Amino acid sequence: MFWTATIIFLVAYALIISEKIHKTKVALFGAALVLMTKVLLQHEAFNDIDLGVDWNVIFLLISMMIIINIMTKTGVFQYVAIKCAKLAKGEPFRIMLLFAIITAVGSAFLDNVTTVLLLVPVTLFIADQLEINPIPYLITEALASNIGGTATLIGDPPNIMIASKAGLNFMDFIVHLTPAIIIIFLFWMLAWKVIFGKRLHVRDELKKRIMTLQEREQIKDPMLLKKSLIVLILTILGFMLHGFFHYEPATVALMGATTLLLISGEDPHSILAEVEWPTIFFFIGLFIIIGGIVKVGLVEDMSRAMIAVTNPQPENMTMLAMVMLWFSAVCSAVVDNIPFVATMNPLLIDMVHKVYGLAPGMATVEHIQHQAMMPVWWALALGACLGGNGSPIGASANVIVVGLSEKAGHKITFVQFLKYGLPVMLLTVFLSMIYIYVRYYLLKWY
Amino acid sequence: MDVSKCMWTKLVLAKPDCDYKSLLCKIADPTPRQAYIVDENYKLLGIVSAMDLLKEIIPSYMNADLARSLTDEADFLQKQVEKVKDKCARDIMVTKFAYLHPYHQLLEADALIAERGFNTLPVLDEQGKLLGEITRRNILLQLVDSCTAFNLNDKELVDLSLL
Repeated sequence: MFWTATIIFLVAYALIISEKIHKTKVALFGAALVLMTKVLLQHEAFNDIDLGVDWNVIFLLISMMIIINIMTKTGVFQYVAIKCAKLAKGEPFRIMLLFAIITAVGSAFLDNVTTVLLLVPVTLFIADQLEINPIPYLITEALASNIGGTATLIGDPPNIMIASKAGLNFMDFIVHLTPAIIIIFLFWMLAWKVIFGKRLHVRDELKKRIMTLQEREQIKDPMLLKKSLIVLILTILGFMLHGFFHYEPATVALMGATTLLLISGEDPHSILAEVEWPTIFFFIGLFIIIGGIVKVGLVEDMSRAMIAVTNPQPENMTMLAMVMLWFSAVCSAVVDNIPFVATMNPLLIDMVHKVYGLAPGMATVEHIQHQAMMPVWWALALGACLGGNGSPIGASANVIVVGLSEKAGHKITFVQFLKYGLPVMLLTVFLSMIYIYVRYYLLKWY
Repeated sequence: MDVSKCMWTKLVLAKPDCDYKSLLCKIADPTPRQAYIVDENYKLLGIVSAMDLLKEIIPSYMNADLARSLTDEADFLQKQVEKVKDKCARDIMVTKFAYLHPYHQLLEADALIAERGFNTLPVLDEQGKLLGEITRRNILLQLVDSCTAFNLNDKELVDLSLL
C-alpha cells in the first residue's frame, strides 16, 4: 500500500508539473487509482475530515466563484480602472501604482485570475491611448494580484486550504497577514518608483486622451451592481464574524452566493456553467491523492525528515518557520502552489503530533494553533502565495497575463517575466522573513 | 446536383504580398465576402474575409464597453489602420479552411454550411487549384429554382431612409 500510494502521488505530481496532461485529468485519475487500489476507501475519501476531501474548501471556492461571476457582469472593475487612470491625470507611473492597488485589493477579496482577466484589457486600452509599452504594467498587475491575494483568507486558494486545515478564521488572516502585505506592498512600490518613476513619460496631448474617456459607460447594470456590492460587503462582514458565530467560512460564502443568485435575476444555468469546475475537480482529486499518502505514512516520513532538519521545539519553531517560508516560496515558483500546500498541510499537522508528543489524530485546535506553531502556518501562506511571483508559470494569474499580452501583440518572454518577477519574489519573501522574525520572535506579538 | 453546376466563378483573388489597404479595397465592394489568396498557378493558399480585416483593426482587448468609453473613435480607428498598414495577405489569411470539390453534391455543401456556420466555401480541384465558390446565396437560389411555388419577383426592397 505504501509504495502504491507513493507512486501514484509522485507520478501525479510529475505529470502536473510537466503540464503534458491537464492537471484536473491527472488529479481525478490519480484519485480513482487511490480508490481502486483501496489505499483509501471511498467512505474515507468522502467523509473522513483528516484523509478525505475538504468540503469546506470546495464549497468556499464554488460560492466565491458564483459571487465573482455575477459581479463581473456589472463592469465595476473596468469603471474603477478608467476612473483611476483619470484620477492619475494620465501620468504613467501614477496609473501603474493605482492599477497595482486595484489589482491587489481586488485579488484580496476576489479571485486573482478574475481580477487580472478584468483589468488586463483596460490596461492594454490605456497603454494604447498613451502609446506606451503595456508589458511593465501587465507584469506589475500579475505580481500585485499574487501579493494582494496573500492578504486574506479568501484571496488565494492556498490560504483557504491552510485556514480550513488549521482552523483559522478570516480575522486571523487580517490580523496576521494583511499588515505584512501592506508593508511588502509599500516597499515594492517604493522600489518600483525608483525603477519606473523617471522612465515612464508621455506627451501632454496623450494624457488628455485619458481625460476624455467615459468611465460611466462601463457600468452595464447599475441595479445588479448595487445588489452585488451589498451582498459582497455583507459576505465580507460575515467572514469577519464567522469565528464569533461559529460558522465555517464556506457557510458564509454559500449564504452570500445563494442570496446573490436569488436576487440578481441571473440565469443559474449560465452562472453555474461559469464556475471553474476543472479547478474544483482538481482540488477533489488532489485531496484524495494526498489522503492516500497520509494514510500509508509517507507524510509521516516527510515530517520526520523535516523535524530532523529544523529541530522544532514545543515552544520555539523559528528555524521551521524560516525554512517553511523559503522552501514554500521556491517550490511555488516552479510548481503549482495548490498541490504543494495540499501536501504541506498534513505534514505540518503530523509535525504538531510529534513535537507535542500526541498520539495520531489527537491534536486539538489548541495544539494546531499553538503560539509557537502559528508563525509556521503564516510562513507557509506567505511563501506559497508570494513564491508564485518567481516565474511566469508560478501562478495562474501570471499565465493569464502572459497569454493575454501575447494575444494583443506584446509577447512577454520567460526571461522578461523573470527580470521583474524573481527580484520581486525575493524582496517580498525576504520582507516576510523579517516580518515573521520581528513580530513573532523579537516582539513576541502573537 | 454537383456544386460545379452552380458555383460562382467570378472571385476576388489576391497574391500573398497584397497589402492591407488593397485587400480592404478589394473586399469593401458589397458583393464579395472574401478574397482568395492564390499562387501563380491559382493554387489556394489562404482566405481573407471581411471579418479577418476587421479583427486586425480591432485590438484583441477591445470590447463593446471599452469602445463606448472612447470619445474620439475616428482618431482611434485611424491609428489602428496606421498600425496594420504594413501587414499583407500572408500575415492575415486563414490557412486552415473547409472546401468542396466540384463533384460534391449541393446537399453536402448545404449541410456543411448549416452545420459549421460558413458563409462561403471554396471549390478546389484535386491539386488544390481554386475553381469557384459556393455561397449560402447559391444554395438558396438553387432552392428557388427547384421549387415552382416560389417567385423570384416576389422580393421587394423597402428604402427605410424614405420613411
